[in-house]
Amino acid sequence: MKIKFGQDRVLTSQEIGRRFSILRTALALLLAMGIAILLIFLVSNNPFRDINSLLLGPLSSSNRISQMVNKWIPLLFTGTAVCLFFSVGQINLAAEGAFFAGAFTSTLVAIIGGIPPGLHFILCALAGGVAGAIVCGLPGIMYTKFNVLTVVSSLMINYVVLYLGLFIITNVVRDPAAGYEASYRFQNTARLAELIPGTNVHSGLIIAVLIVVFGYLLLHKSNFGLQMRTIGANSSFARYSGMPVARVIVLSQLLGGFIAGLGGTTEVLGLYNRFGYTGLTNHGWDGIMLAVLARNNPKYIPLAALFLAYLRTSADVLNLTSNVPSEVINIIQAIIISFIAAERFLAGWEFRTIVRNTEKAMSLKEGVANE
Amino acid sequence: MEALNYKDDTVLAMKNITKIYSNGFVANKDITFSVRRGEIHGLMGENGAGKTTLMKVLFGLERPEQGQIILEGREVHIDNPLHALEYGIGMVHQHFMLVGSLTVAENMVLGMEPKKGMLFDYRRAVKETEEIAERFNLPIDARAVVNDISVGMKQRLEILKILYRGAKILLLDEPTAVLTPQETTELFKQLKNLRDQGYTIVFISHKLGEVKELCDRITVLRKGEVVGTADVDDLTELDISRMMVGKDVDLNIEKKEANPGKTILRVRNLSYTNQFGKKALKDVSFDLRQGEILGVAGVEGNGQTELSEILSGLLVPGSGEVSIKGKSIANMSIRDIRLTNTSLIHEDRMIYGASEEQTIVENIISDRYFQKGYNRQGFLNTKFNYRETEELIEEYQIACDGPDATIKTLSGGNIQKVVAAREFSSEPELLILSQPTRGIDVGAAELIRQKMLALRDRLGTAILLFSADLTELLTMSDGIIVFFDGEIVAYFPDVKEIDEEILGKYMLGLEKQSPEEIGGVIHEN
Repeated sequence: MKIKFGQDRVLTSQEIGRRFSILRTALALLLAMGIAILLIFLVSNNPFRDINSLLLGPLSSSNRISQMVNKWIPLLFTGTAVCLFFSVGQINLAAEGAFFAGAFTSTLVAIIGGIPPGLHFILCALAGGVAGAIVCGLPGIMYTKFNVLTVVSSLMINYVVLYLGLFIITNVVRDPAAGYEASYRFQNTARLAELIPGTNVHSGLIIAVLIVVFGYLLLHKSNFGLQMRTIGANSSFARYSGMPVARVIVLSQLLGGFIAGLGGTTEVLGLYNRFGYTGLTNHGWDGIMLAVLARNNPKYIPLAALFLAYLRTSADVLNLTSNVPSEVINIIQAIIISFIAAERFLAGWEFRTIVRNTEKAMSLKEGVANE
Repeated sequence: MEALNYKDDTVLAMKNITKIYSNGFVANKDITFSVRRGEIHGLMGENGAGKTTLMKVLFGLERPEQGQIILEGREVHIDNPLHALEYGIGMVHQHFMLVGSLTVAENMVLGMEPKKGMLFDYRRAVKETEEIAERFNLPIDARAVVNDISVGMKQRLEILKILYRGAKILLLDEPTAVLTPQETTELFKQLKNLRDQGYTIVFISHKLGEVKELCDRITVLRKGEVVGTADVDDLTELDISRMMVGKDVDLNIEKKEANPGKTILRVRNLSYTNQFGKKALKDVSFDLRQGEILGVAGVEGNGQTELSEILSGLLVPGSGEVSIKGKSIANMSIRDIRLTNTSLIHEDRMIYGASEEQTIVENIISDRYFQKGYNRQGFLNTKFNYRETEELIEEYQIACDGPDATIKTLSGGNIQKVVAAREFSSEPELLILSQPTRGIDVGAAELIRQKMLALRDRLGTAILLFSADLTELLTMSDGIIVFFDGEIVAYFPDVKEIDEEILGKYMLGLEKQSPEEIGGVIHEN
């Protein structure tokens, strides 16, 4: 009997693993959608219209599409930032604070007049990025120098940043003429232009895409990324191999913080003409969820972020057009994240497939040997 | 007459026990072993001889592939420790199984807490602890927090814990390893006391003096098999040492005469005190020369691990000096040490040797990704790295799905081949190797040994070989130093003049060379 290896090629265990993680994600989506539809049937007085809004609402007008894109942009920044934190094994939760810090620090630069356009935005971006880097870098430094748990210090630092920011905005740059708690107007030279005229989508999109690409290349193609992933996987091994563990941890937190801070900058200078936040914006927390969905690989952040932006836009549509509370959307999110984060979900099936596959591979090899 | 009968009464027998671990390592091979009621039975053997595994089988922590356990004449199946305790078998592990933040009494009753209604009755727990301590004459402070009590007390608590759970047969895994001499004396008194009350004790140890002092009979294991059982009084320490180290078939290795050159590694007056205040290394000095394999022998825990970790930069010595090719390593990072063209293999393969979630390529390039060829301007040269890895997979016959396979999909032997492939392929001038073939299959071990010799002969690599496998040491090394209690107690410039028995005497502290003989390992040049 002749066995052709090429046609009857047996999958490797890695390939099976990858297929199962796609399957796991798809199944989680499906389950969550099922539950969402069930919930809508329970609470809605026009379930079919509302299910339609949930599934297709964000695509129903160009206005809603651009709304979705604008929700997508900041998530690309924070999602990538958190991928960097998590890859090096640091549960750094300060992306939230870094985003906020980026927003208010760039505000301070954006209200200064007399700087030529282009340069003005770059200065704002630098200020916002550096502020974000400091916010996320501090927990990293505290961890490497004093062994302070990153998860605790980074969580706390968010509130330091929030109240410091609000203090500065209300005491230093608050515009009494604004009529609400907000800063002076940004100079037009600092603001990001519309990318597609008439759509409201701002040119921060280009920066965001570049950041995702940068994050991916850094993490998976560069020496620095190899160090990061090795430290994240087994820091004792990394140290024994001669890698500069502490330096890589700190640098990666600074870098991720810069990205999150830049996200805050782009958000305020792209969408608003004043700084008007009165609390944390949740973009950093979303980034954590996205990094989990994307398994810490920036390559999958755009897809994960698009999904989230889509859901959020659906929520807005439902809010406007139906009696379904937008909390339903939060439930869907929670279900999906839980299923995807559950590494053991479908693990038994996966294991059996791998075993069967290995047996097949072994018998094939024997078959060839016996020929 | 009755006293005699009770001495002959076999309370527990293990028959034809075979235990194979999932990586193919045979830890116990057809072991038959029995214990009499009311005796202290020493279970002896070197590290890796299978003592702990055998006891874990008895305590239900490991499932044997074959064999029976016969308790009081009836066959029993012990699937887990709770089962074992029901049968009256209790084990005190080498590393304590205590909750440090709880009190002695809380630890004592853990899992079977006395209740008052729905609530935990702490007072009764204290009372019961005090009662049992008094009954066995093992006084302990029931209200003390475990973190605050001494090591000796923790051990006493462990013994009380299993007595509290009704154990009649006590398995003690190297209980003296962590004790001071005073605590050891105290422990022995207590154990003899328990024996006189009719309890049966299995005492795992590799310390000759202790076994001679404490045990009635001993069983010696070597490489997973029983060497013999005998009354302690019929044996001298030398007999036991002979049984423990024994003589094995020669390894299939052909080796040329060494041709030592200039000194590569120079160690002077090295001392190290560990976190528990124990002097792990005392004034250690030696030289290692180009083209020479220097074996380091010693029972585990006599300073070898500390020495290898100091040499690789993981530990900072208390005092003394280490230099590689004339440069002190005092202010060097691990990368700096590696950049002196030194390769390191740590004894703990899964922590320091390999990263199990990562691929073979990533494991291979982890020490060299920053060097020429492996990257271009900071970006990994993937094609080059895969090609290099594929060549190494071929050369070291690593059974895997390809360079992309994650380490955790490989067997132990193949993981060690990946480690060796990385460390050997950087063409080192100095190689620090700890337990390079421990727990791996014969084929992989032989390949690693061949590659090691090739480095010595082809490149003149200086190799420091730490190994618990005496056959390996005697086959691979040119000279051997022996560690006992943190000191070098012997130096043999030519291994052809010695055998396992001689090594055993020095390893177990029965003999020590004169300072002049030991000083022979310093080659000033």
